[in-house]
Amino acid sequence: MITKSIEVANGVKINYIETDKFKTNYFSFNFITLIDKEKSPLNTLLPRILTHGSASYPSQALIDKRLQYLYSSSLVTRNTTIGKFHIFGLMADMLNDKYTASTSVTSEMISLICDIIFNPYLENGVFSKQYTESEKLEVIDAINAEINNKGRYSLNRCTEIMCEDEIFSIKKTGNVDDVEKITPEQLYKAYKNALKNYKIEIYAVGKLDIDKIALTLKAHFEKIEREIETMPSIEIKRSASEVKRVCEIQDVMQGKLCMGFRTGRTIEDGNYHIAQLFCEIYGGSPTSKLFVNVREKKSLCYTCRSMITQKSGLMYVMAGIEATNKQIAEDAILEQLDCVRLAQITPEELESAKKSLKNSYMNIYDSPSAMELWTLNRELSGNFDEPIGEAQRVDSTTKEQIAEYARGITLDTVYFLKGEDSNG
Amino acid sequence: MAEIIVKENEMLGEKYYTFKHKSGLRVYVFPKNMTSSYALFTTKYGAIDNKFKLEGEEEFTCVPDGIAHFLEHKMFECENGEDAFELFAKTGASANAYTSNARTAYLFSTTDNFYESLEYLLDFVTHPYFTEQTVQKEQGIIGQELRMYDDHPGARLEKGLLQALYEKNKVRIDVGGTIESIAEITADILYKCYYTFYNLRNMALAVCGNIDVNEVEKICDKILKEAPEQTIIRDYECDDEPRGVYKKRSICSLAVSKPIMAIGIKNTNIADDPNERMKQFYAIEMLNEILYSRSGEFFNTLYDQNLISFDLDASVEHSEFYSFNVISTESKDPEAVYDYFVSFIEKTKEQGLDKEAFELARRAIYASNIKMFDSTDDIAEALITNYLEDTELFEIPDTIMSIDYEYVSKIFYELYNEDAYAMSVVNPIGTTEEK
Repeated sequence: MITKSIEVANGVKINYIETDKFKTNYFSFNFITLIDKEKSPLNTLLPRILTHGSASYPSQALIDKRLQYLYSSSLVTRNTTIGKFHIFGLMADMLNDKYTASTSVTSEMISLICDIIFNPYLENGVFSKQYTESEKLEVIDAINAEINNKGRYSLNRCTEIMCEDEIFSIKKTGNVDDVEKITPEQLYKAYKNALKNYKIEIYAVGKLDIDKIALTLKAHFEKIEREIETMPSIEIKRSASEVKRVCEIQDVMQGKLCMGFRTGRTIEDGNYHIAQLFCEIYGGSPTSKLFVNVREKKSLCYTCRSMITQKSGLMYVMAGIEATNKQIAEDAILEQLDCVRLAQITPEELESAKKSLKNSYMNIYDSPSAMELWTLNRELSGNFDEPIGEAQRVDSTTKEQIAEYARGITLDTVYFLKGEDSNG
Repeated sequence: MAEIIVKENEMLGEKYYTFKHKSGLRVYVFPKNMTSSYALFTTKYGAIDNKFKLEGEEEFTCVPDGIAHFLEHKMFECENGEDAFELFAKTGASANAYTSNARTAYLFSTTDNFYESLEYLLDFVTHPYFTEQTVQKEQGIIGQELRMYDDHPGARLEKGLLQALYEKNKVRIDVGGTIESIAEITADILYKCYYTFYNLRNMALAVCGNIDVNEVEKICDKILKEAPEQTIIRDYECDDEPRGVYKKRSICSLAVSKPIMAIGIKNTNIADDPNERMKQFYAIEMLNEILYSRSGEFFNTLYDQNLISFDLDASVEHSEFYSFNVISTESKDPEAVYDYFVSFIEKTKEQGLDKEAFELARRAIYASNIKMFDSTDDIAEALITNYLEDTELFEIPDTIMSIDYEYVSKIFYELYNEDAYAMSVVNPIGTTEEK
């Protein structure tokens, strides 16, 4: 997929995916490091404080006005984790110059992004106190708002319980206390550290003058002495021992069941497509075992699905149910897992899972951001196959391989969120 | 052979084909060089259509709330016991459906076997099969779907707002209905609704991707039978709707961390002419950009006082039967935001809209409409919206650029009147009494 990669500094690479399929160009700038209890809350704030004001556009309002002028270009912050990695930075999309009268939107956007990253708005040599405080407040609000989405809340709680001593349970934002104590000085130090030490991956998708952009970036990095940090490898737990059970009460109408499993394998072990196929068959589609049996046949729920996070080797099954049906739902979910373990997969199920999976791989080529995300994910796992390559490997997968994958899965945690006066 | 009309837009470098199939169905084919293709089969039938009759019938039929959505779920069940999802499983297409106020849509996207998938789509939506048993089973599933939305702050906020803005207009009906209303649904009522609204003359198909228009017509020939001529008379009872809002506040409590709020502006100034209505719509979108963007005074004043979060959204719905504008955010003090909103609007009325902000807003709206042509889903959706609204997709960029400062100002002064404002708030539990 990548047309060209240019190293612009030590540990800083710009990757170009050339295509004329779209009316927009896409650009992203990503810092990559490990999730860390101390550093992640600071890193979470970084993209936010940077987009709050730069030297040339010293306020949010001025940056936004500039974006409107540049034909409603979008510039959003990225703050995400993929397995053990914390990825934060900026993502932008902009209209091709073809559709804009006399304005070179793309090169103006690159200048704006460089200004935001390399020339932040400072007061007394550090980030603005006022901006820091208002961004802290935003993050604190977001932490407090985690209870608003019950599905995601139960997923997060399940992970915290399941991975108590592991890197995966660390919240990238930190807790309210961690955020409250952050100072503009600490934040500025974290910024300097990120530019100096973190691995940086930059992506450009569309029709851009990549050599010119690389030169611009090179010039900015020349002023920085790069010393790239080493990231230690992380051992993951391959199987669960005793099943942990936690039930919590909130004022909710519907119970949320979230079951956490260990799959025993990660993306580094290869066979990415087998894990994906398993998930399709088990609970990832409207023809999956969970959808057909737990939702349609038993009429227990509206949502019941499985999800695999391949970089951490975890699987989740989530269902929204009447609290009184909890045990019935849990049993039904495990019963369906046993069916896959016993290779009780019809040729039609296998065939449709393969088609559906290939369909989603091929879909990636239709969106600049999906292509970028795929490539970034591959970069992090050291596997550089294209979607089309994975799609081809799907074809030769047998149901025995899928059953074998399922047999390696063990139940670790059962988390249940329910209303106060509900039974079950 | 139907007469195929070609529409082209040179600036965009795009074209599409449209024809009226002999069955009565309106078809749009938008070729696009993408890996995946998208199909959208829609009926002009949504949650607001709960009182109707066919021309010639004496009595209006009134049906339980939530039935359009219920029908959408039930369409997936085929007579041979198969689920429509299983059909698409054979081709690898990813299928789905949704119901909104004024439409029900069935869709799929696929990178392979497009024409075969299209056959399945046309076939299952034109073959209803309901029994009392299957209806009962669905009541359990949809019951859980409604429960899920009961716990969903955004859904509660929106419902509260519509019920504050409108007294009679059917748009205040919840798309899913209630546990009680869906309990009244029977197979007979489903058939009645089906044969009224799933007549091909009341439907449209839009496909976008690497697709040939002649192949699409052949599939229509193969699957679709000619639909009987009929005229649907719908009673939205919207003529009796007062200009002012029904109530000023709608407040409820949920397990949220901080109040979330939506200010609604009810708009009764809706043009009868579709093209004029489209112009009004984009003018209101520009107003939202002028008044509520992050570069503006409204956002920055509230943000600097920590009264709102970074997420401030403004959106507009503008159709023949209802029109409203919504500004939503989170705030520790919704009443303070509301008061500021009222005074900010009054001040802007005195000073007039900022001319530079208008230019930037028009540019932004123009650009978003061009960006839309990067997505097969968005294109098909837009074709259907233009079908339902009786407007032309390719005229949108010109319409946007034809809107001037004076026009936007006129819309601004007409739209913003204090008796047209209402607010919906979802409070954290234990802070306020429910109203």
